[in-house]
Amino acid sequence: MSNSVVRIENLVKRYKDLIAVDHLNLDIKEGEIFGLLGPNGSGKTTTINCLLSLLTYDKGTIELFGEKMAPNRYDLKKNIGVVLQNVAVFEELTVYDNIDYFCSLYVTDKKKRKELVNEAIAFVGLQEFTKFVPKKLSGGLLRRLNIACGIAHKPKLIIMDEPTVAVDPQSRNNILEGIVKLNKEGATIIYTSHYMEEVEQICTRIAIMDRGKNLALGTTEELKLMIKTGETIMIEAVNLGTETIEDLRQIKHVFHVSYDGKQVKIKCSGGKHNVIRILSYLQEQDISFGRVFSELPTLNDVFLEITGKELRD
Amino acid sequence: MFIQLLKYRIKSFLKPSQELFWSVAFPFILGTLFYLALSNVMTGAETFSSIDVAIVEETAMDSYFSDFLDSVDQDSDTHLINVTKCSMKDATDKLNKKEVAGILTVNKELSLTVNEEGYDQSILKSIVDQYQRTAVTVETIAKTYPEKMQDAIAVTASSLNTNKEITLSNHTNTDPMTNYYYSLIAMACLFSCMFGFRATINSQANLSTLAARRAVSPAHRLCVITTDFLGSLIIQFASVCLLICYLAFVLHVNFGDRLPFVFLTAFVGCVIGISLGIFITSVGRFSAVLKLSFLIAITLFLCFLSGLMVSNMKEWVEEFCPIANRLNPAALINDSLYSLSIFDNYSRYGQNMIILVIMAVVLCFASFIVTRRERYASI
Repeated sequence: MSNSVVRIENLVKRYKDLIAVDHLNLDIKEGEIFGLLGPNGSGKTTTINCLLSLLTYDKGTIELFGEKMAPNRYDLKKNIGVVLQNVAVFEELTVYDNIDYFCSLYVTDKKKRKELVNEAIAFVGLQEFTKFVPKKLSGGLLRRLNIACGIAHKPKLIIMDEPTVAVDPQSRNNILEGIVKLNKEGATIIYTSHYMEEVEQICTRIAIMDRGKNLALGTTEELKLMIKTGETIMIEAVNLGTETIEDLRQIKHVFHVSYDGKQVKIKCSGGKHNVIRILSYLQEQDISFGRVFSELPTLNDVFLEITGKELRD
Repeated sequence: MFIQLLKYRIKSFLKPSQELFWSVAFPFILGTLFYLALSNVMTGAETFSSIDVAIVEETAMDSYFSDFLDSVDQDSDTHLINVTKCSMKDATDKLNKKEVAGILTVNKELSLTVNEEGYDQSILKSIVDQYQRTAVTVETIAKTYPEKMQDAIAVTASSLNTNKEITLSNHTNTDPMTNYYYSLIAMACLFSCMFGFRATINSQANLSTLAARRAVSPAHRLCVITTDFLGSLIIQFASVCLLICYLAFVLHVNFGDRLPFVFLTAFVGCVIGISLGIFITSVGRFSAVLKLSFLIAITLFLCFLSGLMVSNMKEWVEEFCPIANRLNPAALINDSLYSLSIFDNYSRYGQNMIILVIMAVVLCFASFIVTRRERYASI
């Protein structure tokens, strides 16, 4: 079994009357890309800040690499790379100088640092922009610089707090590919986001947070099994009466039917042959229908069902 | 690591920014403006010329008045007035043609005729008033104590002479305009609070993301704070040194022959400025913009009290609230520079420097206490 890189037990963080993190437990293993998924204000960033000893907390313990984390644990901090939600670079320094500065906080050997900085620049594809100051970079390039500053020293644990916010799709793909590459090179990654598809795409395990609580934890498949929805079937049909809708609800495994006048959306709790069963019923009733779609549950369905709401921005 | 961090801090501080303008460029601009404005004042004084005045003797002037005229006509190196005896008609012509500033008519009483207002006319009036007051005094003594007449004439004659400058020391620079430059240097020193502000914004995780990123690194907090402080100090001290050199060697402001002590004062002043910036930025939960505005306001207010805008403000403060001058770093820097240029010994300078050093230590310590925190209740 892999070693725990991060272990959070019973973490509680309050802001006066507001409980930002509510008895949170997490155990992140070496080599994982661990996704922290939740809407804004769910406690993801607060958890990260507690983890990094930037914030005090009211209760609980945090261990990194098997040892208790504290602000003066410079030995532990050495192995951590941080990519914060907001771009955190010196506006006055060039791309190269910024990466070199942050790398120098971790690596003292000048020769080694030069290699690492060049590797980081190549990794994020900023070779052509090394002499640019941040304000001359586009949003996507700036995000890449932000990542390079956090990973140049080759940390064992990389914490990425919504690194793709306000990034165009092309840059986002580039960043996500980079994260997977870092993981393959041996880094354990904690990735927070409120973009479901990103988390689903790259994370090996996911924790869904809301109101400071860990509502569900597991792989994407495990999370999908946790919810009632096994399959969602959509059928284009017009003039369906209330009687027909009611009959559809009575079909085996169907637990939810909604109709907007053009398309009927049927949620089934699992089982096989759901599509055949429903289409047979429609043919028997001589109801004409158009295209038929069947979808397995997405992480969004999981989130909706677990939290009972849409993901907030 | 320390050298590397310091190098980058200096590099980042040197890039054009709002702080760099206020703390480096602005004092140079203000110094040049002072020079342009004050040199006109000085040139006016240096080109002072004797006042031409016509004398019309309607009755013969007495010997006392004749002596008095000689004393002001041929006093020391410069002639205060230039007397031309002529008839009333000629005198009036000269007055109308502005060849003379006024006409002194000697009759039973001395009278002055002018046909416009100005400095020359004011000076003439002052001379006439002075003579008349003295004449009344002498006349009274002559009537009351005739035996003391000789002594009275001797005393009043000496009082008619213009004041004589007395040198206090070898370093004396009594030019009142220099006070503006002392205040300017004090302002430049205190404006280093801008760098203190920026250093603090970049090192407290509750104030910026950049600071949060630095806070989670394995670099020791004291090392990071020290590089920020030193970087700020090096930049600001270098810029104040350049300012002093610019004032002394380009604008020819007289700082006396104790320039190393002027630099020492500037160094301590910069330390105080940076500490003040760090301290004020660290305390309270206000926005960065508000804190910066407050810093600029407080710095300018301290400089105002030290005489940056009104030359004798420091003396007024000394008269009504002397403790303010002992606690105002701008006034202390100003007074240190003033003492260097006036006094032979270093007692007053030393006293000011001791207060400045104590202040710097207290502010540095307080700044360290408030910035050493590594964890926050909220960020």
